Amino acid sequence: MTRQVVIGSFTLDDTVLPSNEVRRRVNGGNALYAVIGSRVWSRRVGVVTRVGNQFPSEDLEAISDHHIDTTGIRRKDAQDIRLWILYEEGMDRQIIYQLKSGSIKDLSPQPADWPESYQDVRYVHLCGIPFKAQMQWINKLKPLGIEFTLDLLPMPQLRSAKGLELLKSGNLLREISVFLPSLEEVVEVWGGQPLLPLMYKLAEYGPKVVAVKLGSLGSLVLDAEKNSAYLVPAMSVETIDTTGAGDAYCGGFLAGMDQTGDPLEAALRATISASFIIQDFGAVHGLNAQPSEARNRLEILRGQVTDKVPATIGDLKVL
Amino acid sequence: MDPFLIIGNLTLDDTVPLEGPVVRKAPGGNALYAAAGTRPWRRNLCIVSRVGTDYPSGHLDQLRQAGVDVSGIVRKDVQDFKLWILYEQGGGRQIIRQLSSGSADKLDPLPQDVPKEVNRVRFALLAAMQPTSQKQWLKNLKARGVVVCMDMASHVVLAHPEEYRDKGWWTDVDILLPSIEEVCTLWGDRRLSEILTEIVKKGCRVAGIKLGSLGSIAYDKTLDDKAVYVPAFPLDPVDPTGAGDAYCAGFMAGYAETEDIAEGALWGTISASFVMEDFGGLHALQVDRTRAQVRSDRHRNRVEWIELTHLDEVLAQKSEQKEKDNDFR
Repeated sequence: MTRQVVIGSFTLDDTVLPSNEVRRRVNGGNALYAVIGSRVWSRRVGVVTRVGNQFPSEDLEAISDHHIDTTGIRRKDAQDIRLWILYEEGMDRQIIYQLKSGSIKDLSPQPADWPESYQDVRYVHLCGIPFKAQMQWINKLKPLGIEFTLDLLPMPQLRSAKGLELLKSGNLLREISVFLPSLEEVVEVWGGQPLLPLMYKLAEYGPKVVAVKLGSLGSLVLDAEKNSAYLVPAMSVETIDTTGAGDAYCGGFLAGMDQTGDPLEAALRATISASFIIQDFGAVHGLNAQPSEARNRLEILRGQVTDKVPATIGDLKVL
Repeated sequence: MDPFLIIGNLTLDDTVPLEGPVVRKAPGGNALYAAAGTRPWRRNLCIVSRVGTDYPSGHLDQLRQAGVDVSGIVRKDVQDFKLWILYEQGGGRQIIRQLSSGSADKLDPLPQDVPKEVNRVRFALLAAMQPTSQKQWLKNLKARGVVVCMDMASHVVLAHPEEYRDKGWWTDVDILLPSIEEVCTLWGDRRLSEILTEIVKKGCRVAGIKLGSLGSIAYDKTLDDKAVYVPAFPLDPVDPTGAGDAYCAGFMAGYAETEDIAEGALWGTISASFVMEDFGGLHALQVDRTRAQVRSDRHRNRVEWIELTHLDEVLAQKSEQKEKDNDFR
């Protein structure tokens, strides 16, 4: 029975890597990376998304063969979402739509796409889709007793003023259990204050966990119920392509929260999910992550966590 | 001969071609492409632009070696203009600014950047920049009696068309050469013949429209009822980036020398063809007048004068024919 569900987008990406290599038409999308991140820890995970007419069927079959519940995937007679993922000097990254991309409006999953068979779902991860769509999902699923983890759309140009208001006013955060933004997103939305105090402030709106993804520095995790903060470092692995790391982190967090109820344990699993994703291009390779290796990494990482958050990070002015 | 002023931006571009790896930090920018479009026809030209801290002096040396006066290129202690040029599967190209790019506020050249030694100028090409910069230049150049050929900033036209509609501040322009996309955004779905006459009514002497792979048209208000059409020079472009800038520059060179828009449009077409033969703009600086002349002589018999009243119909036929030819190929 499916217990954790990821809701978001599947896309076809052209990625320009720091090495100058260009990877064209790689299957990606926040929901694909996230659900594969969950799958490292859980055999009871499903995905709700819409694909256009070019997303390869064999890849949908591959994820289904790896025990991911795909009953929530709808194929639409539309262009797929096609993105450029552009790595610039200094590891800055830009994500933009291609000219011939399908529209996120047509391909954002809608509440009507929720499979009736998802009776036992307890935790849902809302990927970075438009705020309005996230709110619609919350309105549909919250009455079923489902809890939420939430990420933000990584394209600032697509965040509407109304949506931002929904976020800044706390109306969105009030409804969720776990908030998982990246540092860049925090800077763009709430810039100008020290990071850790800001996270406490965000937790006051409602989430019991706020974890900010810091890229190669790992993540800063606030367990508001225990009033504790931890710095979870990134796993040191050979990095080929960091695309999707943040989404895989969210997927691991989702599985971890449902399975352990413990934010720190969830963050450890999240970090390890991300570590698998960055070891090769695209997302699908992550299906081959071995449970024994995952457990092995979990033990190593557990020893590296500190609850003494260095001032360089806790006081990091998000300007 | 008085120098041509080429006023615009110099950029460092990361180009993603349809195949193969990304080409990083290649010199680009409308000022460079316009210089490349001028160079085959005219030896005496001066670029007025600004570069940031990272702009390699080697690129400036190459310009200098090609005989371009670079004394109007001012180095500023800011980030350079950095662009992505993205070719997409299934056609189309996007040009976007990189996250770490410098801004037009700091990098658009201003009239005070013109070197003191350059005091007699008759022709200036005002390449696409933010409208506030272009306005300052127009005022300055008109006061000096300079003939101005202007290109519009596509991203401004598309995002903020009111900037160009607003009070028609660009009516001080002598030669206006927008692209068909810009024209459609600003004037909507109207007949091109009407748009050409409307532009010259606003004050321009010459109006032209760049039609991409179909070529270009131009209209001179002193000539009644006829526009000139020049098809694109037949070649398979390697990289069309900068073709529009080179066209404007070649047009101005031809018009300055002959006062004939047919020569202007022809020279512009030839300038654009050289720029499209490879990535970047530096390669085209090597083209000399003899080579350009050979190419323009070959293409001259394809220049057509078309009655304004029939212009749109004739262009529609040409477009249809071109599509058929492409299908055949």
